[in-house]
Amino acid sequence: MSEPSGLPPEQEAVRRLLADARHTAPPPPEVVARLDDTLATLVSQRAAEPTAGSTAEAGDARGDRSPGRVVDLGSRRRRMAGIGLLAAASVVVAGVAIGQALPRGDDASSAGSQSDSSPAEAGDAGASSAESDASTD
Amino acid sequence: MNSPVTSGPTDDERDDRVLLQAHVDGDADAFGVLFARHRDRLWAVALRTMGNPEDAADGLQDGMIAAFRRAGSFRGDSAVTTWLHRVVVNACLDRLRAAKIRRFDTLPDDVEDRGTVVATAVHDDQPEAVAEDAERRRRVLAALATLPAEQRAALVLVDMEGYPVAEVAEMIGCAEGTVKSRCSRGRAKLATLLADLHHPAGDPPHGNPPPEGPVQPTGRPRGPPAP
Repeated sequence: MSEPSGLPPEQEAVRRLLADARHTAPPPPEVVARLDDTLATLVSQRAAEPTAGSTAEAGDARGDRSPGRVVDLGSRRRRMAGIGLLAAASVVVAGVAIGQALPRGDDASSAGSQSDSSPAEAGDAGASSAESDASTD
Repeated sequence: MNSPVTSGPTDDERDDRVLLQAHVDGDADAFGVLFARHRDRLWAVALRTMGNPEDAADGLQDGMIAAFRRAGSFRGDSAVTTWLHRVVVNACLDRLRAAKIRRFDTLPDDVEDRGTVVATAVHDDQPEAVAEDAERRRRVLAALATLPAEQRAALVLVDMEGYPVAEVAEMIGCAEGTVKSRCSRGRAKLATLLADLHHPAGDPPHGNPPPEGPVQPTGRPRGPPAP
């Protein structure tokens, strides 16, 4: 129960008053009935959903917000983290592609080049861009 | 399938963690068994936190729904009952914050707080004690209702329900020092409001002495002396 207080006398007296005011009776019958009805609704709604261990994920995918659905927040967080990583990777790839497509200020002959080279090959690409431009002219 | 109920004792001897996992795994009855096991204490916490039965019923229902849906988030690093209390207390505090704290309504004379009825039943042969207990209880609850919701919840869990500070910190989702601080500030306010009620330890009990009393009859019988 209560820990040893070591409190000032007036605070210890308040603790005793609060302890004496503890509610010890069960909920009223009407509250119990209400809880039972609510629980029955939750259970029936969950039972009506498609079964499977991925019920929560399937529900999320459909945007299902039924109250009986049990949500595994951990899997949801992992899924959102994965989506975030994919989005970040997409941005990086797009940025690199755009960077490759933009004309270089010191090499006007590479303008319009559709080079697919990676940044690591930029040196070689610069050397070969004249050949590719020649082939497209 | 039997209708799930939160009422009455069950013969299910599975422990709380097993029941919660069974619910997550799809057992239709497990959550009802689990909630019934802790319902009375959760109701007491909700009632004392919200201050009136109507709001307490709303808060407890909100908490039950949240626990039903979020059972999969229970990590097992605390007791299931601690987790249940946390969900219910948070549901109650959310309602209080949303309502900007609905003021505690004094119980009308014809509607007894059932806790008062039960607690004072042992004094039914001492009407003055019954009335005094009821009035003291009413004063304490009215004073409790004047506190900020966070202080009220801390005092309900620590001083009324007797949970350890460390466990209450998990229930409320804050540091132990924060729980202690809220309790200390709350008690200080209540001490001012209830100064006429509390008696320092060691004071003799108030009220009339028992009929028999400690006074023993003398050896001399009453009445006229023998001729």
